[in-house]
Amino acid sequence: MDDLAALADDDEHLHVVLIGPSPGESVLVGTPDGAWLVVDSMLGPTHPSQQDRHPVAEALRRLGAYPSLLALTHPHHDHASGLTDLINTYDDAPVGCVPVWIAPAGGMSSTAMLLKGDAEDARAAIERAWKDPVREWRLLADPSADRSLGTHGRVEVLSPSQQEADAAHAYPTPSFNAISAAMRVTWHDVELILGADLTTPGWQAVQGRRAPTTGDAAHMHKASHHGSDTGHHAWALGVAPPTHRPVGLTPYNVRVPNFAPGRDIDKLHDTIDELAMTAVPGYAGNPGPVQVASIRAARTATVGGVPAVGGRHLAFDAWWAWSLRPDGTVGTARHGSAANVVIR
Amino acid sequence: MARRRAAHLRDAGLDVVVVDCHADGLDAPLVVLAALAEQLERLDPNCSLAARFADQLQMWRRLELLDESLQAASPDVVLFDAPELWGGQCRGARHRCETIVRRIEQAGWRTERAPDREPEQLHDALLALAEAAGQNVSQLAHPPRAVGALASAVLARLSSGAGRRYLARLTIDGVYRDWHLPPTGEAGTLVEALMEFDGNLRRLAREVAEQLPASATGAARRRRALGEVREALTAAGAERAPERHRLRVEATALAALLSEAETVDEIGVIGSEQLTLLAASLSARAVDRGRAQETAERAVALDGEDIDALRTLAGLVDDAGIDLSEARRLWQDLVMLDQGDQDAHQALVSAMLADADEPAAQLAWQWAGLDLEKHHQAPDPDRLHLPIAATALARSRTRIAREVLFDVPPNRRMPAWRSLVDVLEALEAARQHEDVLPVGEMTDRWWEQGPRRLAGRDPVDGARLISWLAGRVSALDLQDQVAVIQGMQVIDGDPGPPQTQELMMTADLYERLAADSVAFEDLADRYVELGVYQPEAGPERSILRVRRRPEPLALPARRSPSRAWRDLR
Repeated sequence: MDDLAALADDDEHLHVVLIGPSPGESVLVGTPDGAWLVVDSMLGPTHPSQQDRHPVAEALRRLGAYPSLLALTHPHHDHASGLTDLINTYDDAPVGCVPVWIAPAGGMSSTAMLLKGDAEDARAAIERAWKDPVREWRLLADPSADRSLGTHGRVEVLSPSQQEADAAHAYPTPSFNAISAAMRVTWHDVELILGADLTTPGWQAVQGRRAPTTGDAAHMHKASHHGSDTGHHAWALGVAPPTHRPVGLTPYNVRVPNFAPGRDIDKLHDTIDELAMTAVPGYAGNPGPVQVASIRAARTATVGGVPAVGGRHLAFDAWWAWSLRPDGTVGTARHGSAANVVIR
Repeated sequence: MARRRAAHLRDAGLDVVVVDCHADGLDAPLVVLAALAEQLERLDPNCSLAARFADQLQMWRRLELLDESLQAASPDVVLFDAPELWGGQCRGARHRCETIVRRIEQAGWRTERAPDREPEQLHDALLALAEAAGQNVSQLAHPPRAVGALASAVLARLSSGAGRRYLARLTIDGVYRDWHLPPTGEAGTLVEALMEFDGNLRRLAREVAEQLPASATGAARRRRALGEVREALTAAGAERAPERHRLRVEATALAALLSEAETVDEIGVIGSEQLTLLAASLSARAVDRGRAQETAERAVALDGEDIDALRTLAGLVDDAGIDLSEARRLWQDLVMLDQGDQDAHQALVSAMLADADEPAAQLAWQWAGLDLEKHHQAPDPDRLHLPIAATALARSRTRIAREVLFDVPPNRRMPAWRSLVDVLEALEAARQHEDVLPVGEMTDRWWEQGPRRLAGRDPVDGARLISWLAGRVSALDLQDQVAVIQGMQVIDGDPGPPQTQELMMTADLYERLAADSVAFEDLADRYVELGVYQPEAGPERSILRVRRRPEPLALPARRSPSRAWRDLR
């Protein structure tokens, strides 16, 4: 992550850092005057030699950043694990969360236990933080939830609405993704859409609440739900984004994103030429930018007649960082060695 | 746990045990799906059975527990009620049921269909049978058809003439849910006696209270009278109850009186000691925690250094989970008052972990060690280490869990310690994406143990197992009908460690390879074994076995959501 340190000395651009050592993601948005928004957290990556490292905490250290705002879009493990540590470390930063908690799905595997424990831990940390009214930030699509980010920045919560949050409990099989908190960050003329894991119906509701051209005008998108087509929406991604507009996504690594024809990546390519992905699903040590054909080629091994993909050992520096000028154009784009671009 | 309990029951000589299908835990070795079938008949016929089971009856879970219990316990009599109803339209459920029935038939167990009788008749008949057999049958509160099955079981068993003892215990109210069936039945008798006594106390207290003057002018008389009743009941309780239950009996008397009194003052409870006792009793009943906490707060207000009062109050606040900061403060006060109290140290560290404050918990843990050493208190792992580790594991806090668990001296590392270490290692493995085996099996060089469900040779043609993969279904895409299996492949003759693999398997391929009747839709989060067999002639072939679901782990319950979340509901 050495390149990240260079951003610390850049006081002209808005910085957007997307971290995603599959599975998991975090978005860091920093203004030149030193205000940082941290959206989500994850523990990882998964290589045994790298255990006990916290990618977000490490990135913040390298950036020399002290978060002004912390936010949890929804309490799935790949967004919530490790958030507690950030809340404890940056113990005066407001903590955002959708004020609805649905018990994480059960399961009896060790992984299910782990996920549930991480999510409950994050909830407890947020509860504790919210005892201080200054730290309470209810992520609801309401002007009262808007927050400043530095002198010229603003964070706006796009979803869920209060009604959507209230209704979440009534669903027979409630979904965190359906009520995850998508956000819009503005700074001078720059506009970013951070998609969380919001699903398509959620985006439709957002579009109904907002001017229909707003998303289309955004200068950068963090694709929702790791690029899955369950989160695709024309407004969210922009109807016809120019190719220079960064669209970043983080792989979940269990078939998300899906590279099959007609599915996640293929559909994204209907409108977007280049997708900046922090790491390759099933990444097995590929050091540089790869194309779809390369990713498909990795899925050729067989075990007992069953198609197999490579191992799950990811390089640690799975990240993209963009520096945006006040007019929204990209100044620089940096990436870690695990990152890649998926080209149409 | 079901397996252990089943073995325990078996050791105790219990040949027939009927389990209420409506209870949460099917934890004994027999079998009645009568109640389940009855439920099915009531359901909306337009829904798919699989969905109904999943959403309303947790059918798969029940079938698995049933299957496991049968295999573990080998009962002499197995009862079925309308097995044709089990599977219905759902192919997976039908296969599963057929597998179970086939296994039962192959085992030579006797099968019976439960008769459809009136519950009262069955109840009477059952009691008569039990008396005739000289045995105790208790707590017959259950669905009617389960009663039928129970009676049928006893009948069948008696007619076989081979049984030694029959004990049926059906519960629907959870009273005995956490109570382990002892071989002698002594504990049951004791608990029942206490419950009966408890009921008498309440009735007596109510009768007395009704006779007392309710007017303001009679308040002093009323208070005095209530106080007298309390003392009398306490004394009576002390005579009737065994020494170790005396505290409970006295508290029961106080609580019974309080349920009739308008205020705590009315029953003449004015000392902090009595208030503490009362709070503990109210707390134990779990029906009036608000009043219990209020009573404990009064006790602490009377004497801020009353350790028992503080402990009771801290426990109440902690259990409620609404204000863990307050719980921490109270436990901290207690630790300050009695630095050698390892229960308070444990509670403090656990509350900090539950409050997602690992740094504070780490510090408190270190102070606990120093305090106990200073006060020459030998740490008791059961009271100190294990509860803290369990709380940490419930929150996936593996680092502190490891530190605490391995602070237990080697000569004190009992089975309960081993169980938690198993969980710890499983969580650590899962964090590293090597969750391929259930808790307890991910031991050092686990691959040398071989597969659990795959045979070394195919019994049909003798094909040899040349490699196998332990894995877990990490994702299930029902849209594309694809399962993702995260696994580790073990190759015969390779000393290991095995290589991580990720497989994608279509539903069609699964149908071809699976040797178990687990529906594809039910594969999410399941552990599997995939073996590659080499016959004498011909190509290799693969067989996939699905592991049974692991037992739920007995980690502490999570704290309740706080008011911040509940306001919205």
